[in-house]
Amino acid sequence: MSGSIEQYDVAYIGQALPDDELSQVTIPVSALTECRGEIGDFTLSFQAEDDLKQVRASNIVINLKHQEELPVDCCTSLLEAEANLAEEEEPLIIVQDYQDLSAAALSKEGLELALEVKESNPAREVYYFYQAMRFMDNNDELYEKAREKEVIFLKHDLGDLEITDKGKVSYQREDIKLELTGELTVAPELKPAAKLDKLARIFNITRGPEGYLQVDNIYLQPTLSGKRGVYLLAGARGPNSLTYEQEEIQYTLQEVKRNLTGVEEIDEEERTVDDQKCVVCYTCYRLCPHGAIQRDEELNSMKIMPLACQACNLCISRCPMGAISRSGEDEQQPKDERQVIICENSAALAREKAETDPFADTVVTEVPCVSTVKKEEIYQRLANHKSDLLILGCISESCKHLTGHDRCEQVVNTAKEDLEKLDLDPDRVNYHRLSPRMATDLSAYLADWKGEVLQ
Amino acid sequence: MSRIAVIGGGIAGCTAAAELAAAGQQVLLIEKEDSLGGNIKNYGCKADSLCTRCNLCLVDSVFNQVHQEENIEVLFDTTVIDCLKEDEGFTLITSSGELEEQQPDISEVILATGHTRWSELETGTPEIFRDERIIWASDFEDMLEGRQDQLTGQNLKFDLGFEPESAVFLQCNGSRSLQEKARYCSKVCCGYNYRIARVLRNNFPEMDLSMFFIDMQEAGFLVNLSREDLKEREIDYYNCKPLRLEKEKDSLILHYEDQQRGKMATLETDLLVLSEGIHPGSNHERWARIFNLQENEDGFLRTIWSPAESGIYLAGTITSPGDIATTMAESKTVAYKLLENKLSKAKV
Repeated sequence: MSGSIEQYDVAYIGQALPDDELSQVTIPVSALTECRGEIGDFTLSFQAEDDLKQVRASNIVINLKHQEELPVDCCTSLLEAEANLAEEEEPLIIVQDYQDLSAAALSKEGLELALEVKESNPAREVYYFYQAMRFMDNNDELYEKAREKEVIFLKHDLGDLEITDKGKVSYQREDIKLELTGELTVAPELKPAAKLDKLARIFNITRGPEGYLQVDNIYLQPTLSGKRGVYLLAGARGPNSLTYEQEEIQYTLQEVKRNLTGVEEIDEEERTVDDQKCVVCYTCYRLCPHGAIQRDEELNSMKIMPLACQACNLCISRCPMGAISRSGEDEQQPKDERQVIICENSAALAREKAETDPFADTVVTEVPCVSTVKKEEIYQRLANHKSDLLILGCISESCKHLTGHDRCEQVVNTAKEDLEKLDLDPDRVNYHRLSPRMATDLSAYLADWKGEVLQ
Repeated sequence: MSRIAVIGGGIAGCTAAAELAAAGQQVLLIEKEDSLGGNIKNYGCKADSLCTRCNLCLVDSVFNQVHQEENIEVLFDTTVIDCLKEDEGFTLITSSGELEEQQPDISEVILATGHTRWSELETGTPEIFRDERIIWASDFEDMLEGRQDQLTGQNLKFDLGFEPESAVFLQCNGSRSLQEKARYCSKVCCGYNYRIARVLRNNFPEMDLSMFFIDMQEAGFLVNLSREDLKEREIDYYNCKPLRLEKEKDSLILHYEDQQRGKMATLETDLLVLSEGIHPGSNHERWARIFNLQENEDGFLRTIWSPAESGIYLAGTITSPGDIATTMAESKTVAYKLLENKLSKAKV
């Protein structure tokens, strides 16, 4: 079926990027209805006139403008202001940071505007109200030049700035009192692009706290999304996305090109959903931090997309039917020794950094993410062992799999509750968080932990 | 087979080297010290109860990748002293101790020798800084590396010989000042010290914390500093640079101009933490000479010729100040660009 659908290197949702090497298609966000498939071969459905059309694309770049909100009426947005170079008498008033601090890109716009006006018309007064001048590119130079050209800079966190609905500006501080009217240009507040909720649903990616499609996670920088092959720019990415706009565009284009040379599965294990056991409850679909699970219409079962899968094993540990399995799952009976389950992204790295192995004489299971741990596994380990179990995840909000460490904590907490109900000792299972750079803490803790049990 | 030389084994060089090696290229990584990591080798985690997105979690796996990658040969304790242009590619002259060697068959060079921190520069460190109550922000790294608050639940141990009850962070130190040989804003110090302040706040809820800024900057891709945020964490905000420092027996007294009230005011503190501007690396003159590069006004490097033609690429803070995440992203882009150029050259 897919053979007849046109295939592109990259599909842009929103604005396309200038590049003549990539074959591309642009789909307006309002027309998009569905996305299936995975990196290398996405199929996008969209409304074109009265038809439902489909295209295939190897990569997807969501590049949408921020929504702008002006903090006052009666003014021009700094992002749209054109320098008025006529022999203007009235002053130019530029305001940034009127409510929240503006992004560095807005400082740049403001400085450029101020300079352009001052250079063509030195006699015209230019007032620049701000709280913090934010730097990127050559803002330093522009700022210095603007000062030389006698742009009047006034920090309004050091005084009271008020702008009335009619565009009258008053500024007051101990030694200065100003009442101004003139051409008023104000930095808009940048908000997430429109319709991101719809895109989050279509691509099955989580939105961050401010509503952008990028979750605040270090592993998603600079333009990665939770889903492999889907990249985010500008108003889809985050509040600071304009600061490094050029760098982010370059990075994204190069990533897209690199993906075209081939993408490999993240590990060699195979993860399969047993279609006889799967009841299509969508638990895995909802939990997967990487949008790697889709429904197989023919089998009426969920399926894991092998290239999109980032191998955190969260779906396996949480499937209520036990329908998902992986080839590398070890069935070995644990020995009767102290046991620790560690995440390869934090504790495992800290272990390497420690001077002496903090896990000497401990049975260590290294997992791609602590979300791998099933509740049943905790019970089994405690039943087969006399010793305690320690699980080490990542610092809050720094999980490579976005939610893995929190999901594991939930599992550990329910396990503890269950143990308590059965009148067993809940403290036999421990959960802690650390970062790769906490080798000292880890060593000290383990030394102590061992001591406790020996008594 | 020809090799790509990467000069500098910090996060910029290692990210680029790992990316190139993964694409099947042979890489020669040249590091002047005896281990990888550069500036951030011994940095400590800056999480409070949450990750503060300092991005250090990303780096160790990159260094490990470089160690494990068969396509990368690393020369430690080695510096590059010259570069000879051949008919095709380059030969690098390296020096390691007494030993001078030739590294032939270099097709491209990525220069990623990073920056120097303001505290590392010998010049201009006045007498006043020789006081145990005045420290550099980076002096926290040892304390943070040895922190035992997440697992063991102990408080951060100050490495100072005394327990401060208050601390003042002085931003824009070593930046935005001609006297300090940096008229530019280093951009990263706001976020850096803000994270340290958060760790202190988390460990010592009673401590008085204040920050002096000229202009508060964004603190990376994912963190946006704001006055509200500081207020919430009870970190006092001063919108100026202090003018004078007085050293009393019991405390340090900072004199600053309270611009709102239009008069001088003072602030007492036990500890003064100086931010560190990012300054150009020490060998920029040499790199400019042997690789045909240009020093910009601030002493950072830029290319004169397009790297596609010259084969000389720049990555990391050699070009301008930058944080870990930006540096990694840009270095990856540089590596991809190099591969792309190499591929199109091969086609011709």
